[in-house]
Amino acid sequence: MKEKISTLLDDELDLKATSQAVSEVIKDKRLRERFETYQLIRDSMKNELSDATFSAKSIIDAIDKEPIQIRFNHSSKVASAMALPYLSWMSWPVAASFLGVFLIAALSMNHGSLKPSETFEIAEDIPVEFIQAHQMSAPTNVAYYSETDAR
Amino acid sequence: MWLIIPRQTLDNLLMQRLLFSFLFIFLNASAFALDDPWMQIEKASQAARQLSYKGIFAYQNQQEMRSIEITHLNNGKEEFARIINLDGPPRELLSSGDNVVVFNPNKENVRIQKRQGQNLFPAILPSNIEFVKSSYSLRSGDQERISGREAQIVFLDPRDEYRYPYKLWLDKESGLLLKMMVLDHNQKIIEQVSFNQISLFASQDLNWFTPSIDAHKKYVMDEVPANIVSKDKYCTISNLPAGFREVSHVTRMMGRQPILVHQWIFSDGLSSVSLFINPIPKGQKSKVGELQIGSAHIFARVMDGSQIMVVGEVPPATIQKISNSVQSVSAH
Repeated sequence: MKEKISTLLDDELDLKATSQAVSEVIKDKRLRERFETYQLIRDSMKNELSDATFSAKSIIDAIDKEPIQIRFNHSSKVASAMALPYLSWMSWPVAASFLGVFLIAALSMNHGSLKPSETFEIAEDIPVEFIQAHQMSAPTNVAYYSETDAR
Repeated sequence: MWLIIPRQTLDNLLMQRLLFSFLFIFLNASAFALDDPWMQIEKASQAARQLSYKGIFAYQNQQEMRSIEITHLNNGKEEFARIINLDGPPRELLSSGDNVVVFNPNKENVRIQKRQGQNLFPAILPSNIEFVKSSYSLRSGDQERISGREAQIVFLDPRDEYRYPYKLWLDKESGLLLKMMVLDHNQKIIEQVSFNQISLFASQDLNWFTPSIDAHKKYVMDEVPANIVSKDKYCTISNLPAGFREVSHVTRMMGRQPILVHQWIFSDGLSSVSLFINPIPKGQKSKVGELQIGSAHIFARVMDGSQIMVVGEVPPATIQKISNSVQSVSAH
């Protein structure tokens, strides 16, 4: 198998064997690690070694460490009322002070929506993970072709 | 006047008559078999798996349309398929038997994902059509040309409101499914798949069976949480919609802060629904409401501190009924 992985990386394996090798690599954790090591060797031999090695897990870990962004309620009419034309007759400092007052007003008006609640609607935060889990494990999957690019 | 016929000639004549009678009975039986419309469905199911073909088809639902290229070969021992998304990201699926690998190339690397085997177009009809028979009635329609080939239209009409009607175009010569539509009860198209070009081939050459990815890119194994067959019943499920039966019950880790989720899959032979249940961790919000994305309906609710989520390409009534089929959740 070692030779297979090596030749797979060097594109020397025949086509059917490529598929079998890939399947075997995916099945076995140790082979997977070896595959990554070989890849590292190949990259270093070709002077293509990058600074960081990304994996799906490291990206998810990084996302988890990101601060949570609070989204303002889209229904805030105050925010949409803050239109730029005012700037044509207002000086920037005046506009900035108005903006500050409006922002405080907008925040106080949206205070209720920022409160943590027990539940949220799935329409606001689509449960993509559950949809993908269903699409991947359903015995028949006509919609495979429409699976989102989120994967 | 008596005509004298030699005994040997008489015997030959009798034998010929007997042979013709047998042939007549055999042909009648064959004709009867072909007259059974369900035989067409069985033939279509086998054709998609046993024939070797290459073509381009379009997938369309209410939100998007995509062109897909498929090459399928059966060498008498094993099935090989390569499915390429021609629109959008160049995703490729290669399968040999039950081994399915998806290649997702992007700018930096190629993500490789191992998946479990599924019935994909044109092989969406199950090998065993008995379950389909109990939930759908079948009727033949007109004949139409699809992708330059003569096709017989067949309707699968649901026997109740828990599944969608299907309209199928079957190749008259080979039986292969050339086009299909899933309709709602107002005959509005929910999703459609149709070959734009298709050709059958006899070659057993496997030169095409390789992903067209940049060999110099890094490969990243896309970890898919392992499905573990669950022995824990976790909850009582009863009163499922007629025709739906449990296909599997697994547990898997899901979420950014992974938690154990139970997943049941129910199927009526054509459509399938997933039921997810997990205890809601302390401090985590629960999900409620309903939603439609493409051809899928999703319904979320809370029961006894557990999150219940149902997803499937079925009418909302089916999703609701499956959600309500959860009678009680055991304490965890």
